Amino acid sequence: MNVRILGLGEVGREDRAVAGGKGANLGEMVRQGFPVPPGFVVPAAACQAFFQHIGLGRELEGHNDLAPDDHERRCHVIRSLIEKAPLPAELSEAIMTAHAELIQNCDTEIRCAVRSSGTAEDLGEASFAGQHETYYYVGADRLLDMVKHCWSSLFSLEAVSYRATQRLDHGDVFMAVVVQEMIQSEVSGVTFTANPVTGDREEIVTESSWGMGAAIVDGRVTPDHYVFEREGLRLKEKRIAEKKFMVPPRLSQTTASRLQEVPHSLRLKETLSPDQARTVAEWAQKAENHFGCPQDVEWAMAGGRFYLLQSRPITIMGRQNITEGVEGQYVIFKPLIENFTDPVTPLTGDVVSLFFSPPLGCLVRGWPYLSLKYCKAVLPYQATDEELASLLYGMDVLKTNLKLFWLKLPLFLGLLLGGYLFFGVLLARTRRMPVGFMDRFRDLVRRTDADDKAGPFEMVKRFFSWSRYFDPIGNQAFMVNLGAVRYMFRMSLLRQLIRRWTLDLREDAEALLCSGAEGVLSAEMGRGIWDLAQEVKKSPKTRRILEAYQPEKVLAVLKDEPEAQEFLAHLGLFLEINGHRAFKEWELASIRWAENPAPVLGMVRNYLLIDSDPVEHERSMARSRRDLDAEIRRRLEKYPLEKAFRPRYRLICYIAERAKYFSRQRENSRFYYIMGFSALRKKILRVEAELLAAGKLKCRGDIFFLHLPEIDRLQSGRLEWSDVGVRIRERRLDHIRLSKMFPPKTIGVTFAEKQEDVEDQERDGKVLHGQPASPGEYEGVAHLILDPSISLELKPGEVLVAPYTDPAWTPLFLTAGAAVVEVGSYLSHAGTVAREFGMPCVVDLQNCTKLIHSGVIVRVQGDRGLVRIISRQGGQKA
Amino acid sequence: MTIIWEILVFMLGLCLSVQVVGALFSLIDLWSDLRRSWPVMARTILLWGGLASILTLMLGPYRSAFLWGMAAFMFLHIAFFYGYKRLFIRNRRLLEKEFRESNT
Repeated sequence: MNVRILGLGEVGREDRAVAGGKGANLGEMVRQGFPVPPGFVVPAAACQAFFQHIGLGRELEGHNDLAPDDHERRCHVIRSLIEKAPLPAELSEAIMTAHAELIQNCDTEIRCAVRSSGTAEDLGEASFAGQHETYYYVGADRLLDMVKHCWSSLFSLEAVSYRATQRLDHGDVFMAVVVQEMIQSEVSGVTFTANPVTGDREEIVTESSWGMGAAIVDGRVTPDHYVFEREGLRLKEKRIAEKKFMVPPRLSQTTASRLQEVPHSLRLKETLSPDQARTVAEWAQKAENHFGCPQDVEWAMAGGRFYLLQSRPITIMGRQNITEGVEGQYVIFKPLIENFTDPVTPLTGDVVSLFFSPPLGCLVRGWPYLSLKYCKAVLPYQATDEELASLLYGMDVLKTNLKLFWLKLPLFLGLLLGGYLFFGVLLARTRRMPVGFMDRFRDLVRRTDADDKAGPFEMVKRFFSWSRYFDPIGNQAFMVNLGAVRYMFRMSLLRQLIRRWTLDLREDAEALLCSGAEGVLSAEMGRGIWDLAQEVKKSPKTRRILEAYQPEKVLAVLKDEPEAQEFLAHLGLFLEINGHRAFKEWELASIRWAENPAPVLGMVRNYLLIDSDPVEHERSMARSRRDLDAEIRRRLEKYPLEKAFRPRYRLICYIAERAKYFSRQRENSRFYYIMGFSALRKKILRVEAELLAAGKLKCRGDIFFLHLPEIDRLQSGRLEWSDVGVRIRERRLDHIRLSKMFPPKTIGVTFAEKQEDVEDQERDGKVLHGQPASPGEYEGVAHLILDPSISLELKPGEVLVAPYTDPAWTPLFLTAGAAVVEVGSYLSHAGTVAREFGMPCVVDLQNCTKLIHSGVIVRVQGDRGLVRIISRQGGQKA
Repeated sequence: MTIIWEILVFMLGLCLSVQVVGALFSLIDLWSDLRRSWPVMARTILLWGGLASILTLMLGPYRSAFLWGMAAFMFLHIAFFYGYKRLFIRNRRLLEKEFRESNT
């Protein structure tokens, strides 16, 4: 076997057939003087010779005609064959000699990165992105094995399936391997010479984090984010993230998790100085100039030096790419979108789709959508697709003038009757239940959690459906939540009656009438956090610790402080009741408060900053309700029979009482069914721990990027890490890319935006239009909170600007003067809580987190859905 | 005209049966809190059970349509329950199918 190992400088972009796509690219950069770490290439010919040597051609015969299950088995056999066969002596000697030359000039022992570099990577439209393996921290002892592992990754399930769809013969594809010095970087990152989210060519975007680049490239960390203007490289935007994890520069154990926690002092520290950030952007621009198209550049910094690890064309993923490959017409399901501001992970998507897959609704790339096709068949309107999409989106529900289509009416009424017959018993069962009837759900969760035989599917069935005929309704929290949707009909009816009978009454009359329900668990949770803050105030030492340390670190310090034990006991009691809650609580990957109470401690600290008392607030609301009640009675007196029997007043009171009842039921049922998500997460984490111990998974959190059938197969041994590793990485990256985008309102259909919005924005650029959610007008300083687990300090009277809110955000509403939220509807959490607290709120204001910066003064007009940016002075980007 | 009345009474039977079944479920739903909740439970069952009984007695020639309506709902109710359970199994199979298809 006569194969020559090539230095990186010996290959160029024309040598793809020899050095593979990655090798040729790196060689080209070395030739052009880019600071690429030294290395060599084991050419594709070596792979070809080795495959012939072990007789792989015979094994591949008939591979194209195999059944799916046989594919898994066959791939496993081929990979084992490649990995177990020894390399011919001549070849292994050549590789080890090249390696010895690579490390000879180094004082310390260096580790290498061993990277697959496929020769088919640029065959027409075949990209093979991320389907082949890369190994880090490789020393001389593992080098030959890792080269073989790279070759065997040609036969991962992904790569084989992909070649099959591209009609490429498995026997014709070979792989070169790049062996490079692994830069033990203090900081690393990725730079895009065009904005990969918007496609804007005038922006250069850099993302950086501590340690090795794998943490960013594999999507395991939220990096710092820098945006430069191309012209003059002026820093346009900077967001410093909390970097919780890193892949450290040195790692001794090969099987240990590569992820380590970032020291607390570095988590919120900026990773790049302004000069460093500019240097990175300059090198990225040079790479773009050389290759002639926008580049995605991986880089690292070590010992004050800059290294370019890879440069490849950007796969720009604008909004149009979100919908790529999605067939059909869909409209976003607004009432649910606040639970899905980020797309759900694949595992959560599977779990949700088990109980959320009627023909009307579905998840598209992790977001909830309504299918226009089915809605069109059902709704009795004579309307175009665009009109119907507009109606479903909810922008013009009240103004709509769609014509009734009489022929469809019987079908519609028939479906309504069917719906009533299906849900009627549920509605009857939940009509008048005592407060606390769902407390038993906690026992159900405890029992199911203790049952080792109950797998994820069984748990989903128990928690989110009517799985046993004689199950008490208290065990069906999710079904109760569906029934409580009646709240919105009662509210709507109440609004119409009040407007008809008592003209010019205050804008928030119906919201005020329906507020103040007893026994709302999310409100009690808010009070619980307030009580914890009062407990802290009793102990000056505890207070000092809470104020001095970041929430992530404060718990460890408090445990060592004798004076804080009383507070910790109260915290324990609070978490016993509310520990299942989290931010983004529908997402199984979200860490629950019981696992990490840092968000609770952050909220306690937030309450220490304010003087207002929630009890006083409740008293004031009760006074307002009494005044409103008296006003309604006074205004109704002019109607016949009202003085004697008060029929209208009684009707208004009855409907308000019912709306209040169902509103409480809606909040409380959510409190309980989220407990189901939390228990499910616990179960999944146990499965993950087993898979990590068996080496079938490598990092915590990976399991959420698998599908349920894949987890089954990993448990039963039908899949291994080599089959799923690449998938996990790809899905993580896809998830991160999608999380940075706003889901399109519609897919496959468009509708006209409200013209006035565009006109106003064009005229003075200061008025933003959203949807009214809670009436009132308020002017104050905006405070942008993107992630409440990082930043929770909202000063009294500030205007909360947020991408979404859920019950875990509720305590912030006590401090805020008004709220502006990127997603949601009148019925969404932000609107409901804002009405409860009597503060103005505007929802569905897209991009408000980008358009309104912390520190600017804004006027929120809740009844019109407007936000005016009054002054930009003193504003700063969050 | 009779047939229209019969259809209407049949529908009434359907709807009333929903309430009767809902009321009977209160026995299960409120059992754990029986000491406090028995008045609500008794009132609900007596109200809907009583109304159904009175209508059965009073409807004369339309009695059978009413009873057929009630019986039809009972059948539908059980069918819905098992259908709903099947939906879960179907969704699980769909996940499995999607996985297999994505790997071929």
